[in-house]
Amino acid sequence: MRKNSRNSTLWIITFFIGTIFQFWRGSQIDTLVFAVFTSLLLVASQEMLGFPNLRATNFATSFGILFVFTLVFTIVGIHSVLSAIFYLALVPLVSKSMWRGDSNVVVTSTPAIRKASSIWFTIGVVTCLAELGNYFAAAATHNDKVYPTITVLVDPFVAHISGKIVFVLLWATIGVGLLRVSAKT
Amino acid sequence: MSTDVFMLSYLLLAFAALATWVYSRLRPLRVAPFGQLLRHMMINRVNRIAVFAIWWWVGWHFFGQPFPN
Repeated sequence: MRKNSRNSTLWIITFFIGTIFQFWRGSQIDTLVFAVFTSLLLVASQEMLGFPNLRATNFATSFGILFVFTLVFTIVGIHSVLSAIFYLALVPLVSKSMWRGDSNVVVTSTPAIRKASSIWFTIGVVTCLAELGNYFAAAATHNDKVYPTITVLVDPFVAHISGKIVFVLLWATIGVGLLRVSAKT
Repeated sequence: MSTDVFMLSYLLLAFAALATWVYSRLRPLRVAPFGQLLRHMMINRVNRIAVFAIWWWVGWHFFGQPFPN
């Protein structure tokens, strides 16, 4: 229980820092998105609030919807109002799958899991620091060619239709994988 | 030169991720494979919400966000 509480606090702090960062860089929509995520995590971590215990969405349904969405995303223009509407429409599906109650299975964390957790956590934190370092350096020097963020590197790739298809398929496959793992736990 | 250094940091991180992934597949008793770690994490509701939020935001950031800046 204590470990779960520590995990929750870590996630809440991470998303709160994300909210502050998005506010600082002047992205109002992303500030709102991160603020909503932070609030969701805060509510989910307070078990005494008795939030609704939604059932996971059927995996076949989720897969079908994500497949249709992948097709749509490859057709509609990126960063368009239509693509934003489609992305927002995904939220109820995803929320339903993630918001269900915790499994009653008693989980024991093995040394292998703890080690994997530490390694992936370190890789994640270092990636964020590298991204932040590049972002600040690019802002200070007005040169994102010398200090490229991941977005700057990926944007030209997704600007082409072939790159866009690859990225959307990859993104959707990861989403389907997450839904699958979530449905099994 | 600077570009090379910063690009190298991303490449090193990608290599570290790939090496961890391969090593965990070869020695699952030493380092749990990513899938096993994910299954372990997804039992907890807060972890699940955080993981889905990150996944959704990546798609939103690269495609959905109507007014990127």
